[in-house]
Amino acid sequence: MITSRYGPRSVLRRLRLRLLPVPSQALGLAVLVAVLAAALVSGPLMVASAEQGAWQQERDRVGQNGLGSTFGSSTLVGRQVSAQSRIARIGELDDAVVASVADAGLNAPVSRATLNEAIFTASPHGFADVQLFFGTGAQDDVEIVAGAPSETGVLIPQELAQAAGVGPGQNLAVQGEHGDLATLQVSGVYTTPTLPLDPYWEGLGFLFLPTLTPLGELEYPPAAILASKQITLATALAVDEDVLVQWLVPIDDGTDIAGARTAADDFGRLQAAMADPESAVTQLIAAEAFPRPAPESALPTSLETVDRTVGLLSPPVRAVGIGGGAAALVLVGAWAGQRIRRREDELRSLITRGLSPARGAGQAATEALLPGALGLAVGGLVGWLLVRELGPAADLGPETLQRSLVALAAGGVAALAVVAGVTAARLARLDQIGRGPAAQLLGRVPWLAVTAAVTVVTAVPLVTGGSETERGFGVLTLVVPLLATVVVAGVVTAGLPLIGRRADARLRRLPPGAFLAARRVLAGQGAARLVVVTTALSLGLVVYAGALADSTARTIATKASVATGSDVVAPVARGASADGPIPAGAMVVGVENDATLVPGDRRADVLVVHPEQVADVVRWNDALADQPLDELMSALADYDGDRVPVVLAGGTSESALAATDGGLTLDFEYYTLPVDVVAQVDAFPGQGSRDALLVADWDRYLDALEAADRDPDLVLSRMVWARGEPGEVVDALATAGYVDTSTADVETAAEFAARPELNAQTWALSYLRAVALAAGVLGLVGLAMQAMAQQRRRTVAGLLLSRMGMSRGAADRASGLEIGLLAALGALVAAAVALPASALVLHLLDPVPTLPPGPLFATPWPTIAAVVVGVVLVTVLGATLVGRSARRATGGQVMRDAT
Amino acid sequence: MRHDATPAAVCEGLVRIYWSPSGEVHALKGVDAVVPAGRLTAITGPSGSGKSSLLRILAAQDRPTAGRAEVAGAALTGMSAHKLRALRRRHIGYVFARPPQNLLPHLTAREHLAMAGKLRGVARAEVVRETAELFDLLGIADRAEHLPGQLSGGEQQRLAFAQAVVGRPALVVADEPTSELDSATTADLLGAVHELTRTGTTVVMATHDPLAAGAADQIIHLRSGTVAHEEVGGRRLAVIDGDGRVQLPEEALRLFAARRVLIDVTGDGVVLRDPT
Repeated sequence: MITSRYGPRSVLRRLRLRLLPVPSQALGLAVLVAVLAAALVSGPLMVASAEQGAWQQERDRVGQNGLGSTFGSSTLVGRQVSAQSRIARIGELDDAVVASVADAGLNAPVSRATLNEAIFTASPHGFADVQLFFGTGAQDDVEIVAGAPSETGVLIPQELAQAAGVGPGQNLAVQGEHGDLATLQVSGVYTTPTLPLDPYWEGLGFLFLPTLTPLGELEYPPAAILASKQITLATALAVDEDVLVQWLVPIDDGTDIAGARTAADDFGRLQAAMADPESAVTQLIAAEAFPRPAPESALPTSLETVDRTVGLLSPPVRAVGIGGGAAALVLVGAWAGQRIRRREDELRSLITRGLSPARGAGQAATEALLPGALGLAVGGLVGWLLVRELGPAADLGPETLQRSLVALAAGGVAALAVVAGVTAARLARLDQIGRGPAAQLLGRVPWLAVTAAVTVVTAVPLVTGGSETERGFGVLTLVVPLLATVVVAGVVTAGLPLIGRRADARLRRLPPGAFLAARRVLAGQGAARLVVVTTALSLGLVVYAGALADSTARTIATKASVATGSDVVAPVARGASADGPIPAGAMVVGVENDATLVPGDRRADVLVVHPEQVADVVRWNDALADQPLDELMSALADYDGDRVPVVLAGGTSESALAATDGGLTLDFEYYTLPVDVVAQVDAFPGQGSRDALLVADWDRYLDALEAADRDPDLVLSRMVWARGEPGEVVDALATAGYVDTSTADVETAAEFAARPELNAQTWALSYLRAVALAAGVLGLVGLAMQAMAQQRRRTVAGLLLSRMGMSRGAADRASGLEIGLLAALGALVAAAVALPASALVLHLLDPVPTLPPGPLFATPWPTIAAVVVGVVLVTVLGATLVGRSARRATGGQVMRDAT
Repeated sequence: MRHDATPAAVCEGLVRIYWSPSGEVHALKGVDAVVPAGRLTAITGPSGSGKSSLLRILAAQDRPTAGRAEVAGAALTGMSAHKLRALRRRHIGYVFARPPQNLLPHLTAREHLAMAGKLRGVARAEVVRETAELFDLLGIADRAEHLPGQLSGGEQQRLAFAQAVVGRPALVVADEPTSELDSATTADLLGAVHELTRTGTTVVMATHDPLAAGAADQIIHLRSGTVAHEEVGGRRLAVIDGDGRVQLPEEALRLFAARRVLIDVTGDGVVLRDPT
C-alpha cells in the first residue's frame, strides 16, 4: 500500500520543484539578471554621481565663500536723512538682516563692517592711517601675540602697537577726517596675516596686503583694527564716519548638490523676505534710505554648470545603460532558449501531453522568479558599489534610490517577460510539425546582406559629419560599430569553410590535436559562427570604448594645452614695469589680436614670446606639431632674415605660402609688419580660436614695431604665463610686482578642464568603458560556457576518438586550441572594426570644436593588451574546464545516454 | 475486462503529406484503421512505412492532410491547435521510446503522477487513489518515492505508462516503448500493459519488436504509407478501404503478373482468379 507524504518538508520540496527545479540553470539566469540590473541601475546612479562630482568640482573651484550669498549696504547714500541717524541705526539693519537670514532657515551670516574712510591715530612718527573692521569671528582668525580678544576692546596689528607704543590694557586715540575723536581700548595685539591668507580672510586681502600704485610701487593698506560690532559702530558715530556693512551667508561646508539646490532656493526666499514691505529690513531701508542689500552669489552659476554637465552627460549614459540592459536582455533570452534546449526532452514530453505554450511560459517565469530576484539584488548592489567607487563622486544621495529601484523593477519585469516570451515561442515551435511558411520565408532572407545594408545606411551620417544635433556620443555612435562588427564577423566566419577546403592538404600534416581544432573552427558551423560574432561584439565594444576614451583624453589634454598658454595666465598689472626678475617657470608674452594675414586675407592673432623661455613655461603637447618645440623656438631665435620670424599655428592657404615663399604681411589696418613663416604647427599654446596664430620672436617683433613707428607698450597686451599651482603662482607674481592680487583676472588650465563639455564627455566615456569591460568579460565567460556545452554534445565523439587511439592530451590540446582560435578570431575582428570605427566617429566627439587642434586618435594599447590577456585567460580556463568535464564522463554512461 | 463497442480511434482514408525543400513527402496514402477500446493495438512496419506519422495523428499531435481521423470521438480534421492540445491533455496519454524523454530527473515516481494528474485536471484525491492503484497494478509500489535515476529501465517505462494512464485517458499512445529493454524486461512491461488494458485502457503502440507485437490484441502492419494487413486473434486480415480497395499480401500479388484479376463472388466469399 502506498502512502503519501505531506508535511513541512513536502511543502518545501514542492516549492523547490516549482521555483528551483534545476539550480545550476538558475545560477546562470541569476548572473545574467545581475548584469542586466547592474547595467540598468548604473545609468541613473552614474548621472547622480556625475551631478555630485560636477558640484564638488564647482565647490572646490569657487570656494565656500563664493558660493554663499553676499549682501551689502552702507550709510553712504540717502542724504535726505542725517548721517548720524543712519550710523546710529545701521546696527538695527544688521540685526534685522541676521533675523531674516535665520527665519529663512539659512546658516547664521557673517557680518562685516568697516568705516568708509580710514581714520587716524597719532604715533611718535606722526599720524598713521588705521581702518576699523568688524567681522563675525574675525578676532578668532588672527594670531594674537599679546592680550586677548574682548567685546570692550580692540585688537591692533603688531606694527601699529610698536609704532604707537601701545599694548593691551592701554587706550588708542583715533580721529576722523572731520576731527572728531574717539578712544579705543586695546585688548590685544595680533600678527598681520600674510599670503596665503586664512580662508576666513578670503576676499578681505585689502585689509592686510599691499597693492601696486600706478607708478608700480607697493602701497600698504591702513593698519586694520579688529573691533566688536558695538565698538565699530560707536566709533563710527563718534568720528562721524560712514559705515560699510556686508553680510555673507555661507553654505554648509561640504554640502552636497541637494543641499546646494536647497540653499539656492533659500537664498531666493531670503531675498523675497527682505523685499517684503512688512519686513523689518524694508522698513529700515525706507526709514533711513539705506541702500537695499543686493544679493550676490556664484551658486546659481555653479548650479547651471552642474546642470549643463548633467544635461550633456545624461543622453550618452542613458544610451549606454539602456544598450547594456538590452544586450543583457538578449542574453536572458538566449538563456531561456538554452533552458529549453537542455530540457527539450522534458518539454517535448509535456507538449505531447497537452502543455500549452502559455502554461509553459508561466512555468518558466515562475522558475525565473528566485534567480531573477537574486540577480536583481546582487546586480543592483554591484552597480551601486561600482558607481560609488569608480564614478565621479561617491555620494549618490538618497533621492536616486527611487529611480534606481524603478529601473530595477523594470529590469526584473522585462527579464521575466523575455523568459516567458522566448519560452512560449520555442514551445509553440516545438509543437509544430515541420517548419511553417513564415519560418521558411525567414530562413531564405540573406541576413548578412541585410545587416550590411543597414550598417551602410546608418553609417552615412557618421561619415558625412552629421548635423549639430548628431554630435556627441549617442545611439548612432554606439550602434554602427556593433553592426559593422556583426557584418565583418559574419563575412569572416562565412569564409572559414572556404579556407578549410583550400588548406585541407596542409591541415592534414598537423598533429591530431591541432588538426581537430583547425577542422572544427574552419568548418564554420553555426556554433562557431555564433561564438566568433558574440566574442567580436563584446571585445569590439571594449576596444571601441577604450579607443574613444583614450582619444578623447588625448584630445582634451592637447586642447587644454592650447586653450591656456600655461597653468596660469594673468594680465600684467597696469603700471608694472615687468622688467624685474620674474619667478622661475614664468614668462611675459605679448598679444596683439585682430590682424589680417596677407595674401589670403585670413584673420590672425599674434603671440610674441622670448623663444628661450617658452619650453619651461608652456604646456607643450607633441601632437601639436611635427617638430619638437625646441626646434620651433630655435627657428625663431636663429632667424637671420630681415622680416619678423614667426611660427604659423592653425595653417593658412598653402598656395599663399608657396607663392610668397613664407613671406607674408600682417595688416593691422594702421600699420603692417612683414613676417616670415619659419615653421608651421597645427596649434600653439594660447591659441584661443580657430583663427591663425603667429608666434613671433620678442626682440624682432619689437624692432619691427619701432620700425613701423609704433609704441610696443601701446599695441601689445602683456600677459604673464606661469607654471605651478595657481594660488602660489599668483602670490609669487604679486610679490614680484607683476600682477595685482586684488584685480588679477587669472585664467587657469584647471578651469578649462572643468568645463561641462569635457567633464560630461570624459565621464560618459568612462561609463561606456566600464559597461564595455563588463560586456567583454561576459563575452569571454560565454565563450568558455559555450565550450563546455560543446563538450557535452561531443561526449560520444570524444569517446570514439579516445577508443580510436587519440590521447587525452591531444584532445585537451584540440579543445584549448579551438577555444583560443575562436577567441583570437573574435578579438581580431573586434580590433579590425573597432579601431577604424572609433577613428571614424571621433570628429563627432570633439568636446570643444571651436578650439584647435581637431580630435586626435590614440591607439588604446592598454585596452588591447587587456583583450589579449583576456583571450589567453579564457583559452586556458576553457581548456581546463573542458578537459575536466571530459575526464568525468565514463564510457558506459556516455554510450547509454547516447542511445 | 472492459471492451467498449465504440472504438477509441478511427482512421478513414488518412493521407498525410509533408512539404520539404526537396518536394512533397507522402507519408500516409489512405490509411484505414480502427483502434478498438480496451485493447492493445500494435502498429508495425519497416522504417518509412508511416508508423510515426500515424502515431502522431492518433496522439493528436498532428492533423491529417486528407481523410478522417477521429480520436476519443473528436474529428481531428480542421481542429485548432488549441483544441488539439486540449484533446491531448484530457484524452490521450503518450509514452516515448526512451525513459529520459518520459520522466523528469528531479521528480519522484509519485510526483510524476501528481504532476500528470494536475496537467490533466484530475482532482488531487482522485490522483492519489489512482496512483496507489496504478503502482500496485504495475508493480512499482515500493518505488513510489524514488527518482527516475534510481529505477531500472523496465521500472522507468512502467512509470511512464502509469503517468500516461493517470486520469483514464481514452487512448494511450506508445512509440516503441520496449526498444531499449531486454526481452525479460520487455515481457514484464508487456504484462503490465496488458493489465492496464484489462482495466479498460486502450493502448496503441508502434513497435519493431516481434515480442511486443505478439502481445497485442491487434496488429496493424503498414507498408509504404498504407495498411498492408491486420492481424487479429492470430489471423491475418486484408483491409478494404472505403472505395473497396484491398491490398493483397505479397504472396498473392505474385500470382497476378499482369496485375489483372477476375473476381467471382460466391456464397462462401470472394474468389480472385488470373484472367489468363
